[in-house]
Amino acid sequence: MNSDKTTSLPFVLLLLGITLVGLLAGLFAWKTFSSPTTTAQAMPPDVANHYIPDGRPVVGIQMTDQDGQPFTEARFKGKWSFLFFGFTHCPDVCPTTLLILKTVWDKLPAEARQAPEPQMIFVSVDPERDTPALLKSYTHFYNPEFMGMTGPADKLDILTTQVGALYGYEDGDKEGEYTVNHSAQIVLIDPKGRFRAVFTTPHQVDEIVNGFVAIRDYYAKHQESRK
Amino acid sequence: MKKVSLLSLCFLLTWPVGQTVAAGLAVSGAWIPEAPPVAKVMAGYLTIKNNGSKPVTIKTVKSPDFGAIEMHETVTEDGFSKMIRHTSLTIEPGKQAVFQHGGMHLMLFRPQHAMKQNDLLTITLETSDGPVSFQAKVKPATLDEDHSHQH
Repeated sequence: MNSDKTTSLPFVLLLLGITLVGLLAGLFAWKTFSSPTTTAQAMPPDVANHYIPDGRPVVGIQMTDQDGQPFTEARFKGKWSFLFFGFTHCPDVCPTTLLILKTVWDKLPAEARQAPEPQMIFVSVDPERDTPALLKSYTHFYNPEFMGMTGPADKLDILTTQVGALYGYEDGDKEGEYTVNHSAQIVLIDPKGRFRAVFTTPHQVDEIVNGFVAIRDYYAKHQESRK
Repeated sequence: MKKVSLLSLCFLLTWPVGQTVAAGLAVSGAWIPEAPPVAKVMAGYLTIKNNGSKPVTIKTVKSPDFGAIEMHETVTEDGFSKMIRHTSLTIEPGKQAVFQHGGMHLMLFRPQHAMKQNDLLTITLETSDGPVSFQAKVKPATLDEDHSHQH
């Protein structure tokens, strides 16, 4: 009598029905309750346009800051750093980038500028002419909070290669004036000293402000706890 | 027609920042962003319109206020910025050359003295149609590019 009941068609259909409902319920629950922010596609556009998910630590840095002090990767730790490349004999692109970053600085919301404050660093790729003292005077004209740094070519290359920046010297004219071609992107280093984001040209103040705020938030939620 | 032109010329000459009509070229909105005092190179931005009936070529640019002046163009491709020097610039009749951030600019080498906001500096374009002199005003360094209508 039992075997009749357990193998009868209606009973089998019922079992199948329950299994199907169970599967559908499970699928529904998984889709509804799985956190969307654990997937890469869930990065907001402000972040996704600039973020480097597997950012690598920038290491081996031996530059000189505007006070003539050594600048190593230890000084990236604990704060966000904006880096951009140029030279003081640059009339157009570099002053424009400095102005962009000054405007970004002024527009950052309070919580994005709270201690530790981000540092804005102008890296000169023209160490022959741009001494630390000159760099300090130059960058401070745009914002006294900004910092300059430079180093000889071999030390510069250690930094530039790790953040995908290029530079090259044009031949000088008869007065000895030469220009330096250089990458114009703005690079973001995270508080663990990793190459974390890039803002490419053409630079827009709002894009950088919104991008940085979104990146900070995203980083705090997803990266900070990682090694 | 002549009377109107003369009146226009007088009117133009009264503008504080010289819009100069000479030969076929008209220069307007010439300005120099204030730069750090230590800067050895500054930029000049302006609009040059050819109101004449034949092409005009600018060969050299000079000023008593700068050691040398060159015409350059910023070209940024794939995030890499270069400056291309233009040793001459020809403006066709009815056309204009706009010098602005991220594009053509005058590269002003070796400022001969300190330059502060509101200073007026005299610059001369040596052209195929004779010299064209104008005054460029030193203004606060800003991102605002629209100085062409400010005087």
